[in-house]
Amino acid sequence: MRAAGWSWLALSGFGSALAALTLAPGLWPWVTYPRATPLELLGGHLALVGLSTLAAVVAGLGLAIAVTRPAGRAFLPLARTLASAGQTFPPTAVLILMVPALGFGRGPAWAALALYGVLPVFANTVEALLAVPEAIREAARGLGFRPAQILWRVELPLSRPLILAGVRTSTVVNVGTAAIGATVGAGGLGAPILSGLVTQNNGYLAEGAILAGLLALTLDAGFGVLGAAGDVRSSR
Amino acid sequence: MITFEAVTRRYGAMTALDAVSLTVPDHQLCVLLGPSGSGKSTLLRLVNRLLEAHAGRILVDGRDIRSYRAELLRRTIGYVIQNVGLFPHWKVADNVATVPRLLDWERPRIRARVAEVLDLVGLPAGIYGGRYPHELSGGEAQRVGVARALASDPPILLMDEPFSAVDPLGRQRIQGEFLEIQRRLRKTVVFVTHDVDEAIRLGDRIALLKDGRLVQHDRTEVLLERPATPFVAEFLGRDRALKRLSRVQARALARAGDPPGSAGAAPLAAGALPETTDLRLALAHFLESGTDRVALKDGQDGITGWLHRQDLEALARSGGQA
Amino acid sequence: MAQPETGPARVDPVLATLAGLGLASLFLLPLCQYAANRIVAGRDCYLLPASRPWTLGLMVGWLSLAGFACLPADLRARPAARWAWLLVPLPLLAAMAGAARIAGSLAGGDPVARVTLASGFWMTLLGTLVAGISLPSRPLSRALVWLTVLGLGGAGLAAGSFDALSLVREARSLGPAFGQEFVQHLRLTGAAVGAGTLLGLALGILAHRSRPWRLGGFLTLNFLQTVPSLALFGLLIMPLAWLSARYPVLRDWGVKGIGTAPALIALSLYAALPIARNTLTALDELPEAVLDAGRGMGMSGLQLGWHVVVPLAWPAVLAGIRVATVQTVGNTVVAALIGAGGLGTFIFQGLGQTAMDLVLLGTLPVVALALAADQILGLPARSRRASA
Repeated sequence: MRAAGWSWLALSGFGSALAALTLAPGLWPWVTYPRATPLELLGGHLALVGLSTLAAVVAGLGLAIAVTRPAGRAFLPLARTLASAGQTFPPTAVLILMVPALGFGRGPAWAALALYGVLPVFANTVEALLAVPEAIREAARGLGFRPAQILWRVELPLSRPLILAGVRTSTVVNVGTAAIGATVGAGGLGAPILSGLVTQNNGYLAEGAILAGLLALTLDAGFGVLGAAGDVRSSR
Repeated sequence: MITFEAVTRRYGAMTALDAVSLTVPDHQLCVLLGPSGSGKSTLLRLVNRLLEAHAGRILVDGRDIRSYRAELLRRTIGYVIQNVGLFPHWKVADNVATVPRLLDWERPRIRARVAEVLDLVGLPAGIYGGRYPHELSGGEAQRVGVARALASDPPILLMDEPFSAVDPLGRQRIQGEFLEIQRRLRKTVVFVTHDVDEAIRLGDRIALLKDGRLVQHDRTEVLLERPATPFVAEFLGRDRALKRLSRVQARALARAGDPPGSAGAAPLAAGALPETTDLRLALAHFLESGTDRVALKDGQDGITGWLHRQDLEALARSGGQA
Repeated sequence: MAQPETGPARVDPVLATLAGLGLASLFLLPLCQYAANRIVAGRDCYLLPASRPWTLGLMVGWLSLAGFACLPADLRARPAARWAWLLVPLPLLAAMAGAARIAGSLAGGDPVARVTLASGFWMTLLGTLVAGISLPSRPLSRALVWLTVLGLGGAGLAAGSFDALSLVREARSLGPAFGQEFVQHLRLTGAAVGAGTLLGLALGILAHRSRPWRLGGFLTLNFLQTVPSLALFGLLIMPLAWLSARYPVLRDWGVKGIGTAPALIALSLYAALPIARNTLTALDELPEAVLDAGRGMGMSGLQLGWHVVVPLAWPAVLAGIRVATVQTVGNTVVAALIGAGGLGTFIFQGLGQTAMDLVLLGTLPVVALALAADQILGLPARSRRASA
C-alpha cells in the first residue's frame, strides 16, 4: 500500500505541473518557443510514444505467446538471446539506423520506437508466462479448459504484473528516444531542446527539457499506480 | 465403469505401460498403487486424456473416450492433483465454480452448488468463499481442490497423490474426511498413491503396478489375504496381518451380552472402546491393558457388545501366506 | 507435466529458417548500391550476375548450414558437430569479398562514384550473427573464429581492397578526427562509469545500512533516470553556465555551460543507478550465517569485508557495472549534441548533411562497443556458470 501511496503522490504532483505548463502557458515567461505551443508539442510527443508503445505491446505480447506455446518452443532460446542482445543496442542507434532504411520524419521514428519497445515487453512477458506453475496449468487442462482459455483466463492474468513492468520500461525509454527523434525530423519535445542548443536560447531549452522530464515522470507514476492497484494477491 | 483394454504407452524407447487391462467398477474407490515409475500416474491421466494411449483403448460406461472431444470429456470427470493447482488470482468460490461455469450453469445454481460442496469438505462458504488461495493452509487448499473437482457432480473422480503434500497429521484427518464424503457420495474414484497405508485405508480395490505392468488387481482384503506374488507381499509389508485388521471395525466381531464370570470388571464405560474402532487399535489396547476382552460403546456411551481378543487373533490368523 | 512426443528426429527449425532466409536474401536483396556521384540516386547491384566465385561462396555457406539443420537431432548433438560453427562466417566473408569486388570494378578509379553497402549485406551480417548464437560451440573456438574474421577484414582494409566502398572513403577523409572522437567517446564512457561506480557503491552501502538513505537515495536516482537524457543534459546546462559565469575559476577547469561537464555529470548519475541497485541487492542478500561464522572465527570488520563480503557481493556488482556501461555507451551518443564530442558527432553531422556513410561511421562503432562491453564484462559470469 505504501508503494501505491507514493505513486499517487507522484502522479498528482507531476501531472498537475505538466497540466499547468501546457494548459496555461501564458503564466510562464520563459515558455517562448515560437513554432508550436506546449500543448501541441506535448500532443505530438504523446502521439508518437503512445502509438509506438501500443504497437510494441501488441507485437511483444504476440511474439511472447507464440514462443511459449508448444508449437513455437523451438524458437524460445534464440528469441530470448536476441531480446537480451537487442537490449544492449543503444536505443538512439536504432533510431538513427532507421534513417538510411526509411528516411527522415515521424514514420521512421515511430518504427524505431516500436521496434525497440518490443524488447522489454517481450522479455518480461516470456519470463512471466514461463513462471506460471506447471501445477496450475495441469489443473486447468484437467478441469476442461481449452488451450486458448487457459492462456486468456489463467496465464495472462497471472503474468499481469511483469507485463505491466515491461510496458512501463518501454514507455519511459520511448519518451527519451522520441525526444532525440527531433534530430531525424520527428518533432515532439526534442525540437525546442535542439533549437535551444543550436541558438543558445535557454528559454527554449528549459521549455523542452522540463516538459519532456515531466511527461516521463507522469507516465512512470501512472504505471506505478496501475501496478500497485493490481497487486492485491500474491501467487501460490 | 472404467475399462482399460490392453493399454500401452511409450516414452521413446521406454515402455511406461505395457498392455494393461483393468476394470474399475462403479461406485468404488480403486487405488492404483506401486513404486515410482510403475506407471500409475500415467494410467490415471489416460482416463481424462491428458495423455493418449499408443495402443489399446479405454472405455467409460461402454463408450471409447476417444469419441468425445477432450475438453468436453474432462468437464465430466473430476481431477485432483498433488500440488492442487488452485488459480491464485481467483477467490476460493470462483475456483470451485470453474467447471460449472465452463458448463454454462445459471448463476444461482452455481452459487448454491459452491456453497453445498464447500460445506461438504468442511470449509463453510461464508468464511472461506471470499478468501484467496495464498491465505489457505496446505490442508485447506487441498480440500478446496477436492471441492472444485466435485462441483459439477461428476460420476468419476481422478485423484493423483492428492494428500501427499499435506503434513502427516493433516493427512490422517483429510483421509478420514474423504472417506466420509465417499461413503456419502459413492463416486467412482481412481486414486493414485505410493503410500501403502493410505491405499489400504481408502481403497475398496487395489491395482498394484510394477514397471508398467499390472501385478494384481482385486478387493483390498483379497490382496492382503492372498498376495499373488512375493513382490506384492513385500510391497504390502510384512505386517500385512495388522493392516488387514485395520480395515475391520470392532463391531464386526462384537459378541452380545455379559461374559460369564467377569470378575473384577472395571467400570464399564470408562474402559470401553468406540464400536467403530478398527481392530488394529483394538489389538494395541489389548496389548497395553493386558485384558482379553473389552466393552464396545456407541456414540451415546451405551454398551453395544463385547470384543474378545481370541476372536481378533483368530481373524488375523485366517489369512494365507504368499 | 506436458509430455513431449519423442518421434523421429526433427529438423532444427531455427537454423533451417535462418538458412532459408539467408538464401532468399542472396537472390532478392541487393548487395550494394552504385551511384555515379553524390547527387544522383543509386542503382541496386546484386551479387548474382556480377561475381560468380563469391556468389558460390555465399550459397555454399547458407546451403551447408541448411544441410546441417536437416541432420537428425542425435547427430547434431554430438561434440564433433561443434565444428559446424566454422560454417557460420562463410556467408559473411563471401559477402565482404563480393562487396569489395563489385565496388572495385564499378568505382575503382573514380573518386566521385559512390558504392554503398545495401540491405543484402546487412541481412547477411545479421543472419551470420544470429546463426552464431544458434549453433552451440565452445567459447574458445568461437572467439578464435571471430578473431580470424576480424583479422581477415582488417587485413583487407589495410591492403586497400575495400577502398572503393564509400564507407571506407568517408572514414579516410575524416582522417585523425575519427580516432579522436572514438577515444573521446571511450573517455567519456569510462569516466562516467568510474564516477558512477563510486557513487553507486557508496549509495548502495549507505542504503543497506540506513532506511532514509534507502528511500531517499533511490527515489532521487529513479527520478533522474526517468527523465530523458536529452532533457537532463539540457537542464544541467543552465545552472552550469550560471555557475561558470559566477565563478570564473570553473571556466579555467573547462566547465562551461555546454561541453563535457554537464554530460559527465548526467552520464555518471545515469550510470550510478544500476550499480547502486545491484550493490544494495547483493548486500541485502548476504547470508547472515556466513557473516556470523566469520565474526565467530574472530575476523575483524575489515577482514570480514575483504574475505567474505567482497567475494560474495562482487558478481552482482559487476553485473550492475555491465548494465551501466552498456547504457552509458548509448547515452554518450546524445552528449555530442551538447558539444561533448564522441562518436555522436559523426552521427548528427551526417544527419544534418544527409550523409548516410557518416552516420554509419558513427553508429556502427557505438553498437560494436556496446556489444563488446556486454560480452567482455559478462565473461566472468558466463565462465562461472559454465564451470558450475
